[in-house]
Amino acid sequence: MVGFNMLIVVCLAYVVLLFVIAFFADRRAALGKLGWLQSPIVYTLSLSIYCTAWTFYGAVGNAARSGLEFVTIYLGPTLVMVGWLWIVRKLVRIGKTQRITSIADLISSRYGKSNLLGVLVTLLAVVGTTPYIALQLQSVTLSFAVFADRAPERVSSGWDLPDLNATALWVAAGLALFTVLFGTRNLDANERHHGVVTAIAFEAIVKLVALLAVGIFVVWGVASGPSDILARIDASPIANWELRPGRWAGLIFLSAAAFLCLPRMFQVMVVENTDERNVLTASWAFPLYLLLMSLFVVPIAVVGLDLMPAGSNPDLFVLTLPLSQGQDGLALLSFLGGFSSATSMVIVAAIALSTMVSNHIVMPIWLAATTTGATVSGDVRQVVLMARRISIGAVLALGYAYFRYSGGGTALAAIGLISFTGVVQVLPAMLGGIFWRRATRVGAAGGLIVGFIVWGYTLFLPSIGGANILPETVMLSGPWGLGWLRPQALFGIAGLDPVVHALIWSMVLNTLVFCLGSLLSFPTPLERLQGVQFVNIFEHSTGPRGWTKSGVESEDLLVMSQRILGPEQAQRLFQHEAQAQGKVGFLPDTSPDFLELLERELAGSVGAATAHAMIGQITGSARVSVEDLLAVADETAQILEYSSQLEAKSAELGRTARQLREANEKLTELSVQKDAFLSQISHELRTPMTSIRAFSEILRDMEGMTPVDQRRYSSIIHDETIRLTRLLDDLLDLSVLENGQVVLNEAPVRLRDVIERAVSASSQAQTTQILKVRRDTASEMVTLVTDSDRLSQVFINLIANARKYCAAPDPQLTIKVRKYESRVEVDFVDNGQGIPTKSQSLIFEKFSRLSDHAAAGGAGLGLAICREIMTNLGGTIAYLPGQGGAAFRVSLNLKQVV
Amino acid sequence: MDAAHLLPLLGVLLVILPLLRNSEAEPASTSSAILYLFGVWFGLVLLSAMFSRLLKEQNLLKEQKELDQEQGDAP
Repeated sequence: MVGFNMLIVVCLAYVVLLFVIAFFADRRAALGKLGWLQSPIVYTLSLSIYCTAWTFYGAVGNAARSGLEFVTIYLGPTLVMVGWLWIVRKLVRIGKTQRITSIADLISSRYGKSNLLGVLVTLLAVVGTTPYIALQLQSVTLSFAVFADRAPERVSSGWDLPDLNATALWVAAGLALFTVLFGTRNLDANERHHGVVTAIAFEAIVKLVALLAVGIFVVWGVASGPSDILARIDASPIANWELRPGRWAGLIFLSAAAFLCLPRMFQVMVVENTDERNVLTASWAFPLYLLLMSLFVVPIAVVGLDLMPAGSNPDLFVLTLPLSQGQDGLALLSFLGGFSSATSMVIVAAIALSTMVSNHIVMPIWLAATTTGATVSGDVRQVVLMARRISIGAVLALGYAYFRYSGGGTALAAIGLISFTGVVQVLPAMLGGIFWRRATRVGAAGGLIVGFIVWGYTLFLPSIGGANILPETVMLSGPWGLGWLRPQALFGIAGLDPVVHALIWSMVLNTLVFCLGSLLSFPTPLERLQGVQFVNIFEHSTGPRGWTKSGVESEDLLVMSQRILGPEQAQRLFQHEAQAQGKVGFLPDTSPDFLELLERELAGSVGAATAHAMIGQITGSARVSVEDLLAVADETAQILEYSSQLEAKSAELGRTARQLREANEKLTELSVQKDAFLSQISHELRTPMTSIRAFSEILRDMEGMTPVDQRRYSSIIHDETIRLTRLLDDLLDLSVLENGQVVLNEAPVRLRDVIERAVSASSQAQTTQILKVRRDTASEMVTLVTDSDRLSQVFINLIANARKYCAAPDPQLTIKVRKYESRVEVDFVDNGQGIPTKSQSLIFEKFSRLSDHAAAGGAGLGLAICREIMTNLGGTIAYLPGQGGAAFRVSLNLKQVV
Repeated sequence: MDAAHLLPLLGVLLVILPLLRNSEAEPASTSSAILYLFGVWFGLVLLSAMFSRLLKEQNLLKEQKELDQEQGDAP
């Protein structure tokens, strides 16, 4: 016999194991080693929270009472998963792209991020889920009681039945602790809880193994194999069950709808989904799981009815049957299976509900209450996390209170279907939202409210009722004697099963109001946007462009995001975005794209409506741009948009091609120049060489030469040597400058002195041509730190060029100095004919001489050297077109000014 | 892909089918009902697994093609 104390020990050990599993999974995830944490198997197993204690224990009871009807509860989800291409795939994709955090968030986000809908769905979910949590508490306490009942302590020492309420309280408290620890550990931007998911995947295995073990024991241990079991089935009272068509079809529909709408199912199926491809595996693996879960239900029920004393609760056959056969180990395993089913459901339901409550009820109130808005400093994350922790506690407390209030009696057993019926009121708004663009917020809200009321009136209140809530007379003859308003026979249609009756009327009226409301109201721009995003999720997976602009300071946004995402993550996000925009630092431009990205990141933490409201507080009101409306207007507009995108793309291609062509032309010219460079340099070297050789030959060979001639020839040789040296010096200078090996003697210097020196130096050189230099010495009083020798070299070159090439009859050179905050510009403008446009890009290249050779008298290296000097000095030199003559602008950074 | 879309419809039809039979005329035994239902169920699982395999291969092919195209575009 398993003692009660031992049961407690096993139970605690199991809970500790769960904590350890969750802890290590969380740690692995935190280290980034996701690996199998996101495998399709874990995903499939996590879906199994659909099988709660109600199905673990109750399915057998259900089979004992109404035969095969229990499979309807599993057939619905099976059909949904087999048909995943229709709905589940779309939900998962929407959940991912829109960063949906809960089913309330989905509805609120779809209908223009309306918080009213978020609140409605949250309330519905809380009301629908609380009894269900109570049901789990009840099944755990009942299973405890089964063991306590037979405990040896009780037999020997008159030990009393443990207080069921106390047990339930302890279970509720323990679950709250686990959920708070692993469900609200961090405010994950993706709202994923690897620890929790891994733990419930483990629990899924436990409950499957437990049920299979009991089933195998029954089929091969008690009975003698499958054929014997089938014979026993036909002989047992179960064989007399009748197929009730209404319930059969109704319950299949109900369970399918609940599978999609239950907050906890949405949590594991959509929110915790890490990879869309996992759904592909789950599409067959989850139906298989359900099949295995229900395979032995009827055999257990049949054998239980056969062996157990009359009047024993068939809901507990899974537990009591092995116990009665002396299979204590098996019973313990089956107890753990039931315990797993209950705990995993409660944990996930609590997480899902707390997310909804904190995102849709607490945060909006908090935002409204803190009048200073979202920009004050301080950590909102703590507020959100605290709100969630408190919500988890509150949800479990509610469940416990409901358990106490309802007295834990048989009334609870029926609550599963009632709860399902309440929750599926979300279905029309959800399916309409993802398949029908015209669905509006008004319709959704109306449908939800009507469905909720009908459900409450026809099913929920009568079920918990008693005489205080709905008096007998109302049940029998309707309120105020209006017979057609009888809760279980609306509009005079009596004789239906209460659940089916409530399901049909609530769904019909809900859908009707939803459709009419949608058709009669007009969606707001944001609703239209979101509608298209949701309905056509596979066509364009980008988010909505809700934000057009923009007097927004990205600093304010950073302050706010830090409080929700945490400083590190927010800064990383901002820095990354700034980099993507080509900026340095942490503050990107507040482009619509960025705002949209930020809103979605925040939505992952606090829900779409709250995130929208928070950004709205900073940016002013939400606006929708014309482009966005174009995107939703209709198909034609979409095609237009598409073709305009194509146009933009082809324009961009054209631009790139043009740039490439220009680059190619320049390269070709450069290569021509390179050839020219070689021939040029040989030519440049050869010309002086030729004359040097000729004259030195004359000096050597001619006899009786007059001293005058001798001097003349020698001086020609001398001049040519100097010219050669200068050419070689220039080349050397250029190569030093180009390699950046030049040593600069930087010192503070007045610009006027440099120009002065350059003007006088260049006027010495050639006095034949008179060049008038016009200056404004006052503007030249700029002090800067630079290498004055090099700078004056540039100036000399420019002045000399003007002197050489300016062909005006009255040559003039104007030197203008303009000083800006961080730089100074010196313009050299002459009154000649300037440089033709096609040559402007070449003048700074080596050996580029535009006019004929003789006039130049240089090697064509001057401007090339100037450019290299300016680069070395940290400035630029450029040709300034459109100044009436040749004009060069030298610009220098002023930051070194003392 | 299209066949995979139709699978749930087939499933609905098959699980609703028992409603159509006239149980008065020829009462079916519960054991045969169990065999029928679980047979249908298992068939759905098998078909679904088959489609999921096909879709996975298709996706892989598609990804591979895209990859090839990207690489083809690169040079």
